[in-house]
Amino acid sequence: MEETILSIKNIKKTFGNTTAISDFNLDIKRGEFITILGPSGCGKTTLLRIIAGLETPDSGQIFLDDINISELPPEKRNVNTVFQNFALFPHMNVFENIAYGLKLKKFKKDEIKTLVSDALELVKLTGYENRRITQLSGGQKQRVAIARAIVLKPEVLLLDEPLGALDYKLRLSMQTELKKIQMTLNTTFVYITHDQDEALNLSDRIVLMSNATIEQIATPDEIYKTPKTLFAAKFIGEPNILKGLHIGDNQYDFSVLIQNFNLSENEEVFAVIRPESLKISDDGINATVIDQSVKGGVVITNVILKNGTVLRMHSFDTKPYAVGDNINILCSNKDVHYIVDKSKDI
Amino acid sequence: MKKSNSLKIFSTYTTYLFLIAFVLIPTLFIIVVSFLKADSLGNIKLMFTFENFKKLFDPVYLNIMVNSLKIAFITTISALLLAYPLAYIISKTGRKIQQALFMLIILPYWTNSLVRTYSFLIVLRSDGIINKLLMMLGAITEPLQLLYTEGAVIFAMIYLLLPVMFLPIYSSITKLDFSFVEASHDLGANKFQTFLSVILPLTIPGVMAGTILVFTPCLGLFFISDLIGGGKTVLLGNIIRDQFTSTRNLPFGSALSVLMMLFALFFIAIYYKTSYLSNTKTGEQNNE
Repeated sequence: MEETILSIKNIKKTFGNTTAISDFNLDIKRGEFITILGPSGCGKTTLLRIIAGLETPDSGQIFLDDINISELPPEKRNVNTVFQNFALFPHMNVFENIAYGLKLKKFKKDEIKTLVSDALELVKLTGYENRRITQLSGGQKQRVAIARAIVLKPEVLLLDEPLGALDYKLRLSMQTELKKIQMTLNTTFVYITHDQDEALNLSDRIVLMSNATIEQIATPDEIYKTPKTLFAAKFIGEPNILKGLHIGDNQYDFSVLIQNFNLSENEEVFAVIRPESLKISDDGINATVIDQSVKGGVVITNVILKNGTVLRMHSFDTKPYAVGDNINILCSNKDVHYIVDKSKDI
Repeated sequence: MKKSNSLKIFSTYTTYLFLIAFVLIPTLFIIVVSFLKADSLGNIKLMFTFENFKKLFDPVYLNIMVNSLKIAFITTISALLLAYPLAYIISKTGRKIQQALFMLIILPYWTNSLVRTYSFLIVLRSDGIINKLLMMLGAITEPLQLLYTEGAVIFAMIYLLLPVMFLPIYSSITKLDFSFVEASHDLGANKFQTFLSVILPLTIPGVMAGTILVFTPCLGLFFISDLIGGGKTVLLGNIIRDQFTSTRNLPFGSALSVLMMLFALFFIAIYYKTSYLSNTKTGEQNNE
């Protein structure tokens, strides 16, 4: 598990005047499920295409099993891709699509038959060999695309927003299945998505990107609880972010109790408080409920503090408060995460 | 609402009317006449007969047909072999160059084909450009007989029909979803393998359309054989014309025309078959 399988070093890529990727470095471990997460246009798909060999970087190298594959064409790299639009060959049936790579690798006919039916079994499409691609639903196409890639037993499987074209329910069930497939095969997955839930659910590690650069590389838990940058904090979930200023003697102009944070005077600090960390407590500070809604079993309460700061609270409380109620809220010190991010504004 | 509706009805019916008046009725007329008799003066007699179709199997006509088909076949294959790589290369060039090259190929097509055929006389005759050039280079001492040969006829036909082959192929190549090509490389295919198993099969509808558009006129371009072939190369089109003009055997001419229509229909049937199989894109989604 600790062994590095794919190493991306100093990758840069520009298209005309736009920088798609600037100085990207990442080591991916064998068997890891790594997600590259970011808003559209952040360069994540370009990175995937560079790993696959479909795009040439301006500079930098890629090592697969310690071998530099930067100069190799896509067909000579032991990585396979599940494309965003599936890219299943419309003039071939399901069997022919999956067998395509195997035939090129000169497998024997009966071997191909076994391997294809194994792959179809893994994606739960046994018996679909002779279906035409046009006869398949979106979810089935997705499965065939995965089968076509994994049947070649790649060292690394690249998935470019594979669930993007599916509807919400199907996306959820495919997430579970993808994770199962990855665990069964123990293949390294590099998964591209702009969907934070997908990233949090599936990944061993998340690489968060914005504007061609890496914001943070961390486990889902770390990235959720201890975001390194304001962008990271805001991209994952809907946290409360309070801007504060060190005013000397460990005093901050936050409205929330904040202690023991070493900062030089006049340095800006941001406190990230997840909505579920805010609790009702008699020791807390006074706030007024301004609105309330329920979404998926979570009660979302927006409150306003005396100084005008609006905070968002999540709770599973069955007794909601009425708008206009005065409540006391508290956030324990350990649940407050601080970010010093000079580069960005709130 | 009502206005646009009546416009729709009007345009639909005029289209139907046009097709009935200028396509359906003349075609039916040809088919009916092909089963009738002609007297020695060329008058059509209302007597049903299979005679005209039996005559098609006369060795004289059979030979002409075989030769005409052979020329059409050679022309089509040559045009295809020229047009496909041309379309492929042009589709891969940059936007501006692509537009310029595209215009260069299409431009001659806007010139009257008879005029273009006449220009070939100047190129091919004994004191034409090709002969002069070859003699200047010292490759030959006496001018070659280029004009009035079957080769010249084929050459002129390829030249005349190349844009017709090029257009549908070019269109099918530019319409090809490039992600199929990328997926093929990703799965381990090199450029040649990708071409053979992905690009070519997916552009077959364009190839078939081009083939129909070239093959069928090849059987009928009588003025090329008259001007460039000096009347020595007889095409199906030449005998049809002769039946309607000098020989005045309209029923037999009609039977020959029916035969030519059958050739065209045969290709169109193949075209529909192939385009049905490969003209589907990934965008379509059926419900589960």
